[in-house]
Amino acid sequence: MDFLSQCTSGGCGAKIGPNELAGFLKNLPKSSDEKLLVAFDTSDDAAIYQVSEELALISTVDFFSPMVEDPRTFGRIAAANAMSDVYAMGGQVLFALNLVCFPEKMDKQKLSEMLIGGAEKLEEANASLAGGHSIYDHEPKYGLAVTGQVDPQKIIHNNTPKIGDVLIITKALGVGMIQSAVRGGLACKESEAAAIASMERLNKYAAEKMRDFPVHACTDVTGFGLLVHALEMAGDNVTLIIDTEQLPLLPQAYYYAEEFLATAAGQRNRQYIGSKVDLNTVSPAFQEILFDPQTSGGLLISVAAEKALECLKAIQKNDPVAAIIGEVYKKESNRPIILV
Amino acid sequence: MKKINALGKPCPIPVIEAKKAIRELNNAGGTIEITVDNEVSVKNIEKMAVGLGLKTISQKYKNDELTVEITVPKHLDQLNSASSDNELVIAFGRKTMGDGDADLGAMLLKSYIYSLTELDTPPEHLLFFNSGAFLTNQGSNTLKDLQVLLEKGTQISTCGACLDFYEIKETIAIGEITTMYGITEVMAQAKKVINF
Repeated sequence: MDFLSQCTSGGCGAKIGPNELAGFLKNLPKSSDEKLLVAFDTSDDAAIYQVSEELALISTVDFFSPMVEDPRTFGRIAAANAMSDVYAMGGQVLFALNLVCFPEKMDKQKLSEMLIGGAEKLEEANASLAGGHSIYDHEPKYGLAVTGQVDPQKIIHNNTPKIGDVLIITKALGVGMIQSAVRGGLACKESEAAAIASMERLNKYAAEKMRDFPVHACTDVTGFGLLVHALEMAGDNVTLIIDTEQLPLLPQAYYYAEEFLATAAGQRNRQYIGSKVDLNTVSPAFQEILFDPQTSGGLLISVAAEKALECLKAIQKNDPVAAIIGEVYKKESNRPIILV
Repeated sequence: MKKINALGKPCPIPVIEAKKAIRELNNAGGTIEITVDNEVSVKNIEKMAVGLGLKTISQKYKNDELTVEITVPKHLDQLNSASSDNELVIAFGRKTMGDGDADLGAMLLKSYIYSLTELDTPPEHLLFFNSGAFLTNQGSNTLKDLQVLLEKGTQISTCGACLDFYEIKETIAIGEITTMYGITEVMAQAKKVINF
């Protein structure tokens, strides 16, 4: 029995599309608890609950089906991805609970490997594994419910960039494209290895660096691709100018995009964007990259311009691919994003 | 003239701001003056502008105040996309011609490609994909005729993903390697496409 999920798309590409999701969420009751500082109504990455004046808890959950053949690698990626929301909001991870679905007939050694991979990443994050829950399913799935902490005064939201800010992205794009090339038997070893290394990478290091700078907004780039996450960041008040030529790309990602090795999730993201963004000046290949779902992608950071270079250099010490990709402008004629 | 102050802004922000201004002037045309505080930014803006086919003038006022003036002509869009229509594009998605006996099909296709060399106006572009990729590879019996077409000005392109798939990328013998995007563009711009 194959570990890599063949029937559904693995990784963040398996996410339910943003427009479908928005429709369902509308019908849910909104919380009136004042201590719930961040809930689902702002498309924010995780929930934040204030416990005292100095302490708020961040709670988030993420899980998906395998996007790589090696169970241990998959475990590491799933854990790095699950913790990412905490880092995007400026917090630290405290502990996590495993969530496991596993086929009854599959070799349990793979289950063990998967969990060891997850535990490795928790250890790297200085966080504890506190338990979990597992059920049988026809397809393996793994993720974690993660709890973190943050000073309520220092919460970083995903949709509060300030005019004049500079946009930094901390990981190279193209993970979905490369995984799709791997499945098609077309990916070279180098690009496959680079994609895996990127997905396994904790956003912890970039998040620790960004704490020292005037960061006004941050989100982790995952299944909705750079463009939809950027759209969420722009909100109703500003326009983000993004230069596609500045985007850091994984090796061969552009080539695979030229070959249209795009995922279904990428197309769902494109449909969600619709006419909100003018793509006319962007080559088809760059368009695919803008919509490409990023399993365990990097942080998109909006930081005050005068400290942007310093912030970038600090992040680049551990994450050398980080790059400045754009700027925040005052809202221009109802356009949340302009691509140049 | 549109003036942009990019003093104190890290690279590549000045380039991004210049591009944004060019985009805004796209139809009307005009000039943009962008002020930066370092040589590198000037060079990067110049590179970008020259890439778009635009003229620039750079000036240095002080050590930390330099300007680049970019002239944007009217209807820049049309300038860039003024590509000519291709007359005839032939797409080879297989290594034989027609259904039936494979040896006969291969012979027919060889004969067809030879006939192309006899045309008064050679085809603009030949595209090779899927098993058609073998036709541009070492050992193909059409190489001599393809060489004649190449010399007459026909472009010859083979799908890179297909070469990868059949593991024959190292032995491609003629023409260039293209992508699906390249194939799509050539087909879309062609006046006439013949498919095999």
